[in-house]
Amino acid sequence: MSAIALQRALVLACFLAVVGAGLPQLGKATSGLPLVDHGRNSSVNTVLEQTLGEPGMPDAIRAWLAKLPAGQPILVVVPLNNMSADITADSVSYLAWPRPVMVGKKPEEIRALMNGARERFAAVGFCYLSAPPGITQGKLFGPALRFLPSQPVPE
Amino acid sequence: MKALGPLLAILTATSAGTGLTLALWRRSGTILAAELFGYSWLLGAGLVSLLLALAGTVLSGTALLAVVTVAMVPLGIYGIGLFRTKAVRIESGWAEAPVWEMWLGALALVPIGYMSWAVFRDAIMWDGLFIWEAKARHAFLSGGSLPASYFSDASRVQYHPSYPLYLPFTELWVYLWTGDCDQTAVKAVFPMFYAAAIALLWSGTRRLGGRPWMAALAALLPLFVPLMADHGLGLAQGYADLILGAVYLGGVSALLAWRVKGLPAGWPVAVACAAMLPWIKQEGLFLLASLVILAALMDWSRRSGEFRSRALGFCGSMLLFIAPGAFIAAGWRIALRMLHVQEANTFHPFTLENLLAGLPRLGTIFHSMGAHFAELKYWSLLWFTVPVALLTLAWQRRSEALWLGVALLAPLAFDVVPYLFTTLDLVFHVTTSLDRLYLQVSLVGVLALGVALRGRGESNQ
Repeated sequence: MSAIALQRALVLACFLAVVGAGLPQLGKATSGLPLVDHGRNSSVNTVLEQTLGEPGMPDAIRAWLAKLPAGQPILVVVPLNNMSADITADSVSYLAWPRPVMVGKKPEEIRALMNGARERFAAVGFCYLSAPPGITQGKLFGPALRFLPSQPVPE
Repeated sequence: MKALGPLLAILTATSAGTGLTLALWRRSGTILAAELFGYSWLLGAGLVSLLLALAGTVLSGTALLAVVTVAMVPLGIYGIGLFRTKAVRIESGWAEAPVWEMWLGALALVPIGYMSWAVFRDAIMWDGLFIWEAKARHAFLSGGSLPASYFSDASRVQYHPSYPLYLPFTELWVYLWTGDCDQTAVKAVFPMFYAAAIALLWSGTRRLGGRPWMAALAALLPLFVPLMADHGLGLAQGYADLILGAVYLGGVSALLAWRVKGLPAGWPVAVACAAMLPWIKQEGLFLLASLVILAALMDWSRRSGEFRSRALGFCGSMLLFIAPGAFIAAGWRIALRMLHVQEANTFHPFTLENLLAGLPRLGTIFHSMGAHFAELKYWSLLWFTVPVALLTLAWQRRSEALWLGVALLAPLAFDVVPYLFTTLDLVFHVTTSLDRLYLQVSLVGVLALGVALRGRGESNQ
């Protein structure tokens, strides 16, 4: 066997090894989230349908946020180490732009953001968290996101 | 217009990229169709995003679309002119190949078809949505440019307003042509980036003497490396790392063609690719530095004669190589400073004191790097086979062994730096980002395998 043939056999074996070890993974895209629609909001729709369990959430959230006083920030409170809550809060921030959206996780962080004046925020959202005891009002988006506006919001 | 929008956006960007590529290729004769396509799309996307960023400071809406289109069309016309005057000839690369080899060449289309399907199967997510596409969407909703308030918005620091605009403004170009920020329409650009990467793998292998079947095997391989296909957060989810890797591959291939095959166009094409790197992602600066090191070694090694004249010529060449990329990187940083950008506090200041304080982390970093190379579910056996390819090239006594080794090792060495300065938990930071850094050089690893298939001195026909 010539040196060239040996070298080629070695590299071909490398190709086969990569193909052989990679083949079982083909089509198993575990990190991806399959689209639930192919419209103009296909990706954010898919994300929010996954985390909030209902379709059409982006338009509903955007329409509700538009009724809040313009330019006033909102606060979304999420639990620590909950990726579904994180991506929901990120989606709210994405949809609410250019309105400032603070995302709070740690109690001291939230206290600092609230700074004793909840009215500073047009609304406070509780994402994958229960609202404070006794609070049953507010606007629900699926079972996992509830917004409490600082002022009554017209329906 | 909704259906036509992405098509027109892609056509205009590609036509400008074609003009630029052919202008850079002028003195070098024949260009392979695959490399023309690959460079045209990657450079075209860079051009359109740069023009949008510049023109968007004074124009908006239809005027912005019209002006950028008018600025790009002459480049396309210039490119056609070069074909007509035969200043550049185009070649398939398999004209003299037997029929079986041409059919085998069709294998290169399989990964592109697969990725096109995967892109329209999955949602754009996480960084793809909130860091990259969000910039395109916000710019579109603001008339075609990101308002100053976007950069100084303290509530959105976690979405990295300081990240550069190559991908977001290519997406914006689709939105401007579509007339809407349509998250389905924008996906049309992702298969284009993947196709450009595959085309450059094919042409890079072919250009360095590989026969068409060898080039086809190299082009097919990314399909079987899970992170280079759709297993993980990557191009299918709108991430920019594979795009950065494709442009780096373009630069490395061009430099190899220049140094090994004496192709004059290789140098200016590599300069253009190098310039785009910091415009894609911050890590692009590391890849730019890696290309500079590679170019410097190549340039110095080919010079002969008196030291003084060698040094002068070398310094002139390297200044011209670095200048466009440095200009874009510095321009972006200056713009960010003027816009009072809010940046996430991810790194300690880059001082000698902090570097020394970070050195004890090296053990953990190297251990993690080794462990990630061996993750079969993400990398198959790629990182075990790339050293075999480099050793085979060395056995063949081919200079590509050295050049490809530098092109792979330099970025990996630079990749250690951020972890020395990170303010995040080291293990968390490494675990969540290292594979994406590997993805940026993985295409060059595949190129090494493709190039090693050809024995030294063999004919490439």
